[in-house]
Amino acid sequence: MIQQMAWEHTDVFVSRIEPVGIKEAMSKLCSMLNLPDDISSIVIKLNLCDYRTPSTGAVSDPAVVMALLDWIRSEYPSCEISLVETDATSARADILFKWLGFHSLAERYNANVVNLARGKWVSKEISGYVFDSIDVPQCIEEADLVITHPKLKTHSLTQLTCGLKNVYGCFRPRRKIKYHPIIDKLISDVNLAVKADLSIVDANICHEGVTGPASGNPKRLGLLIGGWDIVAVDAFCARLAGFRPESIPHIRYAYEKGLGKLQYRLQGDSVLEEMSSGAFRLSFDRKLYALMRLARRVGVRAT
Amino acid sequence: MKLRSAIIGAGYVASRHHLPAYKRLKHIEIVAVCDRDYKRASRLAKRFGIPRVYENHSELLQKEDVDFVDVCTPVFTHMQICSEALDQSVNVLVEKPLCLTSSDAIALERLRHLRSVSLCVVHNYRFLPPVLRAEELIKNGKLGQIASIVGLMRSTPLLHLPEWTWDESRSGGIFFEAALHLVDLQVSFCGEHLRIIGLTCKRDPTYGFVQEFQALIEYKSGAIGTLDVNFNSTTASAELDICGTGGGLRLIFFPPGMWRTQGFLTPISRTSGEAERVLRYLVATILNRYNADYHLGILRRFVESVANGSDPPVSISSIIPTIRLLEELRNRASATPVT
Repeated sequence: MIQQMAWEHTDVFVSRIEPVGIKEAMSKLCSMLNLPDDISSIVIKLNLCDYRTPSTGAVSDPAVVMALLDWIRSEYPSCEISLVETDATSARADILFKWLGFHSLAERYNANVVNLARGKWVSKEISGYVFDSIDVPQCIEEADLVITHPKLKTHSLTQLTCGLKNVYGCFRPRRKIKYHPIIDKLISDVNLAVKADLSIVDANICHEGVTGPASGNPKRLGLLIGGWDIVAVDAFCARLAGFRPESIPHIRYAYEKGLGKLQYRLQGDSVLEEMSSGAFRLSFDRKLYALMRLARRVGVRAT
Repeated sequence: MKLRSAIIGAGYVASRHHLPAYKRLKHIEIVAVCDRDYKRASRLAKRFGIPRVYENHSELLQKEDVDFVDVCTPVFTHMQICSEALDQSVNVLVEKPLCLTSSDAIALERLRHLRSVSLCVVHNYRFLPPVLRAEELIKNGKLGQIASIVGLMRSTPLLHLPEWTWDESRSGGIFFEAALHLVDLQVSFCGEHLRIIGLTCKRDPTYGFVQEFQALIEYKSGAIGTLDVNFNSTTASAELDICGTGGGLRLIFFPPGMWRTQGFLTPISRTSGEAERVLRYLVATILNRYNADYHLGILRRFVESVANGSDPPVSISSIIPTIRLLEELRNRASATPVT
């Protein structure tokens, strides 16, 4: 049912953290998103890509996740909530959960912390760019509501990382690095298999620079952004960060596969002034990015 | 005639550094590899064309007739493996750190002396071309007397490394696993330390290991050394700035390079050093030699020393001052209130 809602909604909601604070801003955003009543299980896909502290803007911020859990628990007292992540090339989810304090946070809100790498997976057939079938975490398949909860960041390979790229974190192989040459199409494929219903973007402390998503610099935008159309939310976040959405290959591929729309209608707090002045742009040197792409092709590790 | 060697430990260091470096050396044949994880050893053997695989180093030492063994295992295994190899009069090349205490190092040196064989510790930074150039400048008095030497190291958290590295009682933690090269170069250039003037450190609140420290050290030569090592950073870099009464120089690593620092450090004077570094980096990475280059200098010298029966490039006695300083830093850190 929630999946159907996603196709009908291309509203993107924005909630400013200042001056109300993270908790109030999250509460406002979630209220605008108008979640259905009959939800008994929610999976929140965190964004824990490397061993970085939340102050770098590279990983999910426990303070923002806490605000989200707070709201969900108040609205759905008996709902089963799971915070999920999987192992990646350079990071192990279990270590990051513990190091960043997600275990104690989950305990406080009676939620589960799940390393998808150690859970069950089911194969799902898709009509993808690269694969015909992809393994999907069973807990995500069975959840009533799947929330992708990315950080808004620039990325040395994909230029931008947001809701769609965060779902790519559910791709089963640990050594995802070997798929980097086809990452843009693969992001679309994984999103065809692992369909997130809702995107709630932590754009409070973002991450900028061509050495993202973990070795760039933090930039505070002070925003929380959400929407039921993951592509539309990504498209808006791309514009906010100073990119044309169509110029980001994985957003374009996802759109072409019908995963969502590039057009959206903004709701909530206005950000037009900052968008037109470029105050929310994330720094990303396109010439250096092109040079780095070239360097990678000839085998030079550029970052 | 080729020298015969066996690798003990089939992990990252062997696969990414030592074996690629051996491939570039003539007169060396790797005849066996050993690892507790037999599958891992087999994979490495297949990749580098090594004929025999063992999962126990004692068995390897008994069955193989080798000129030397190359020990690439974690530090807490070194005493046992090195002792067994020395007991069987086999020459040893062992990864850094050799051990965590100077008393262990002295015990190994006694055993080595008793067996009249060679043991070389892979303090490979001593043989990087820019470091050799720096050493020569210092030796020739081009820098005058060293007044101060500042070591800076930055890295992302130790969590990247295997879990045994987080246990300081087994690995020596950030001091032995991370700061060793900078400390070793400070000791190489300035001699033995006199005292640690001050030390501050911070521990990871979740896992308890020291994640950063700053130390001020006085050397017997009168030089003052500073170490600022931070493994809670978002970057990865290491550098050493040497200020002498007659001139200065800066060593930078990843990849290695060196500048002499005279007068104002203008962008142009910096660029001349960087240009060489960029060129070396491009060549090394395109030819897939980046990791091997870090170890080639010491491995080549050690193989030559075994072939000639001469002293190893890094003997145990030459690293004891470094181990003493690291040991003292670590002990001081254990006693320092957590900040």
